[in-house]
Amino acid sequence: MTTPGDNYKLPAVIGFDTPNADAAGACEVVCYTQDHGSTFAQLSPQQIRTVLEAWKDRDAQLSKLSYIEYVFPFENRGEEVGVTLSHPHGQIYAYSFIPPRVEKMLQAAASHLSKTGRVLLDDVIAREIKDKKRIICENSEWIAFVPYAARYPFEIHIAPKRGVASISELDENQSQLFPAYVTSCCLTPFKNWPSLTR
Amino acid sequence: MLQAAASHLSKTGRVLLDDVIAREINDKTRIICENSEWIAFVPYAARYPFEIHIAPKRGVASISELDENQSQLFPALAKEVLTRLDGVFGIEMAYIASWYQAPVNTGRDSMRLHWQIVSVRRQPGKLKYLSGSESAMGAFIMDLEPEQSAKQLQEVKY
Repeated sequence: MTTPGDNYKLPAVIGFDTPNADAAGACEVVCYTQDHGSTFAQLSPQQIRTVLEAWKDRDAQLSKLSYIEYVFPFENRGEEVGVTLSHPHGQIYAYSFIPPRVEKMLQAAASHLSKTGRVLLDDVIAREIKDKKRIICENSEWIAFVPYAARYPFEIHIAPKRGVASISELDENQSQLFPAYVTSCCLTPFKNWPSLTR
Repeated sequence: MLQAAASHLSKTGRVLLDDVIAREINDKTRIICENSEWIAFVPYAARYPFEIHIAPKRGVASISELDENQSQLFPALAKEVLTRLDGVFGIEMAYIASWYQAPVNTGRDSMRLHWQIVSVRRQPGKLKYLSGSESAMGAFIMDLEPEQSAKQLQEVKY
């Protein structure tokens, strides 16, 4: 993979005649702390806010590159998902295309919007608030819930109640209420996984 | 698959898997083995370190439609493919072998039976983990090109 020029463009997909093309994108590592034995959940609220600001900054910067179509901040943690570097860190991949799962999400969201005039995630959150029982925790800006049709033994979705399109759009109040909430409500229970009853 | 197959049929009038096989025969490099009825190849855009697709050359919608000649020529080819897979590292490879076929009530004109064998084993003692990019985004990132794994499979003595 190379850093392409401003004129980089993936070729149009025209079935079997689609030509091979050079890959373009970005892979970045976000180091969470100097403490080798720490975890995201053990970071101080201030450290989490710093990580959040790093995500926001990188999203805004990577989104400006002409060859980037999608920015994906994430963390793989644990040997069970193949992690070989145990120091607490996350990654940011920036793709020159819209990844398949996002494309599917986008189709569902666009179809819901055109059918109902409403944003899909707003309706999902409204349903979770109505059902109550799958909510893990919430504050005035954020909500965490196990989705109605969870696909993993443990799966938590965390969303700002006032929806934004991308992470760099989170405002000051949302950003301020994220750190304490995400550690105390969402990640700390994972330390006690086998006995997690809530 | 169904959407892709239906869209290809309506655009070109041809069955997608027929065109996939024609392309593999034309490219040659990713073919593992074949006989008069069956072909086994590493697909152009493989998503796993080892991935082999096996299809009857005369397409059928579902497995119960295979005729006598196709059925008779299947065992030898299946044995060769799986023996080659185990032969790459000289160990029994963990794999998922899946038959894909047309749904019972729809798409029987466009979708075709084939067998996909995938392994997350990339080296002895090393697995390909499906993590962030693969699980969350559906974007598969591979350590080796399909042509490289095809070569490894072809070089196994059989």
